Amino acid sequence: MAKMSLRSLNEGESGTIIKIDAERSLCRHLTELGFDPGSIVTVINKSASDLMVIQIKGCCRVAIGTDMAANILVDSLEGEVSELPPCRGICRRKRRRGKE
Amino acid sequence: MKHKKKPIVFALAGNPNTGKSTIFNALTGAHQKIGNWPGATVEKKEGMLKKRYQDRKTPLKVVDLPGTYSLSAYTKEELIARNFIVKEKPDVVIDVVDASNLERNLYLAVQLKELGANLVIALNMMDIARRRGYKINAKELSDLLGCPVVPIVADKEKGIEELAEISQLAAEGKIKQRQITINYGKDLEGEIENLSEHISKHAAPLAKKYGARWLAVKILENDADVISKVCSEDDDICDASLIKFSKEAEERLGEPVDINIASRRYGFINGVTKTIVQKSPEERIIRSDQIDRIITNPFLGIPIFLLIMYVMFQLVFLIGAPLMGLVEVGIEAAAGVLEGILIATNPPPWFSELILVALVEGVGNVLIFLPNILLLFLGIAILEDTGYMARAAFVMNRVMQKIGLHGKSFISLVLGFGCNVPAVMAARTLKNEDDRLITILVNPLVPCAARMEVFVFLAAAFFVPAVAGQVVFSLMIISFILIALMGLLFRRFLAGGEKQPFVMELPPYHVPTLKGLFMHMWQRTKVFVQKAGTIIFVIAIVMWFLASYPSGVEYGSSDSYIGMMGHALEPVFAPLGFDWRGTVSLIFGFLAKEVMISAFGVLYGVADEASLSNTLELVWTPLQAYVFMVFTLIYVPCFATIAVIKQETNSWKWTLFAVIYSTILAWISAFLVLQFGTFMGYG
Repeated sequence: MAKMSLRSLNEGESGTIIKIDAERSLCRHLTELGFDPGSIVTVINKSASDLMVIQIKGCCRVAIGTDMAANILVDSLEGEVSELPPCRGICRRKRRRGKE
Repeated sequence: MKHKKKPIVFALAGNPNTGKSTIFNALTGAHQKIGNWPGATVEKKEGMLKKRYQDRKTPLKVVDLPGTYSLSAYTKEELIARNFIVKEKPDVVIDVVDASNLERNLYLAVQLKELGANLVIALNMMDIARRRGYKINAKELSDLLGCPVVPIVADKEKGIEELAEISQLAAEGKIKQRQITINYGKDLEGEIENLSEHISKHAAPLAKKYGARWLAVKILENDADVISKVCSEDDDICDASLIKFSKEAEERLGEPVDINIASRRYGFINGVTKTIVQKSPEERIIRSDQIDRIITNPFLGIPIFLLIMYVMFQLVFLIGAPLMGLVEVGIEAAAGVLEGILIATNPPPWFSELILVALVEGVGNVLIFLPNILLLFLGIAILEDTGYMARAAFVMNRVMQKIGLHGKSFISLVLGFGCNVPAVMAARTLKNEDDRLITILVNPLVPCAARMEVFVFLAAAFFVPAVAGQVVFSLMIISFILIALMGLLFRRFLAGGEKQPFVMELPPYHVPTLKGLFMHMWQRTKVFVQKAGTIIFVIAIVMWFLASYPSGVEYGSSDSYIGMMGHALEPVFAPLGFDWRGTVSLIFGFLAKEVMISAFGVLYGVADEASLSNTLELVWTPLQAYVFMVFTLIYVPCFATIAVIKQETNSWKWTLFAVIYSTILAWISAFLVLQFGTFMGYG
């Protein structure tokens, strides 16, 4: 358990939202979008310099500006490094056609 | 539509990307009315419920509310959705909930319940949820939220009939809603109670209408709209005393009240989803993430984006060209028939001329673009429905932010190379109003295909082939510089320099349905033809009148009204070196840029393009021609574009602004180019 900004989490790492440091209405918007204190977020993709992709509420992907992510304080969840498997490219498809 | 009986109204609410529009299409079919919400550029769609779903005699209207994440009035869309529910009191609110993303989606549902809406939840994408390993107990969800829940798969039109049936039952009051009360915690509940009492005492009618508790919660959330409403009810409860309540609550909580309230709602939802959703242990990897690794890769992202754009353009213009030819043949045939009828019936000559010039040439000019526009909208629909549009915005964001625009603006700008009309309409995909306005305003600076035609003609007439290409290319550079410049200026002065924080959902990739794509394409094209078409028709009549009167003058000659206007405006353009003919050509360019060259033909009395370029070469220097091109590049877009700017901004003020600023900018730029060119000795 360590307090840090969402921006400083690495790909695949998760954290619990503690606080959003932003202008009031934006803060509220983010909270309603699913960045509410206490909920778990996971960094999915951090390869772009201006934006990062975050998983919220277990499945939804949201792209947010890294400058904004710097103002979101999280409690990093170490040891629980994601149920998300590391990315191995898109070739690994297992499509079962025909049977649902 | 005149209706005798007041129709029952279903309002369709839901988060973006939940398949709301698919459900709307499934419920209403093709008969839809698309317009704008009053005073906003937000699209409003409504339609009548399909006959086969309708069990009762009363007509039934479905209104598609803008897609929102909440009802807190953070965005204009949220405010519109909320106002509609609160003020218009629709008989039923259908909330489309994405079952595969239940927790986030239920936030809006809970707010709708709190608002006291007669709610029916359409639990969409049940198939995807199942594939992701969620097992959702719809019955239990219905019990916990106190409203009917209908599982559906909108893409496959599964459950739509049930949804219509249950919504109609709910409208008749045959399904009872159960009030749900969210416990906001010890600290807040006391405050809510005090405030409710206060409101009930001082603003009884409001309390009766909206419920004192809802008002109290909203006031604690610092909702400006509700606070002003309550204040206007009674002087005794003014702003200050209301804010006092939330101040007190905030001190007790040690954190902003609205954040606390939002978290509490999520707490409640978390409880609900824990009970009703069973997750199987192995969560499926979402393939979208893997595709995104490539699509939004910092190095590959932009090349992929450019490739997709290139393919889309090839598609639009390669497939479009032969279709355009067909339409042209059709219009000529129609014109022939019209002419035949006119000769046969022998109306006054002015009438025949009016019909042939205004209807055939004016409206025909627009219809010729129809295939391109249809294909362009199909392309956009594909980009949107697959989920790529969000990725394009993601990839282009960095570049666009630097020039005061938004990632999504780029799509609109690229489309401008084809035609500014659909390009301006494409700005609709921008959700923020400032972003949209700025994008619309700079869009006409992108030279459309019609302007390119003018450039290519003039460049070929005045410059040797080796230089002609560079001349046209230099115009593109000017265009880019001006877009960046105006983007920054508009961002600074119209949007207060405020950089919009970037928050955007990346919906999972999705294979669109053909039906959905065609619906999207058709809806947009219909609006274009209806609105732009009528305005163009009117303008074409005006232009025809100006060019052919006072009676007896030659069409577009010096003595016609338009010629007089050319003479009158000549002093304005004299510093740029244009005579009255150049001025008249520019006035014609107002109607459509394609006609500028033929206008010169009329003015100089030469028919074919070859002799026209010879004539022009005698009267103009290459520098003058270039200055003319610069002016043409920048000044007011054609009437079709002006018409859609009006339609999309829903404001005459901004439409006028777009016309005026671009004309002034064109004058200044042309003047500077002339001075510079003269100084450099090209005069």
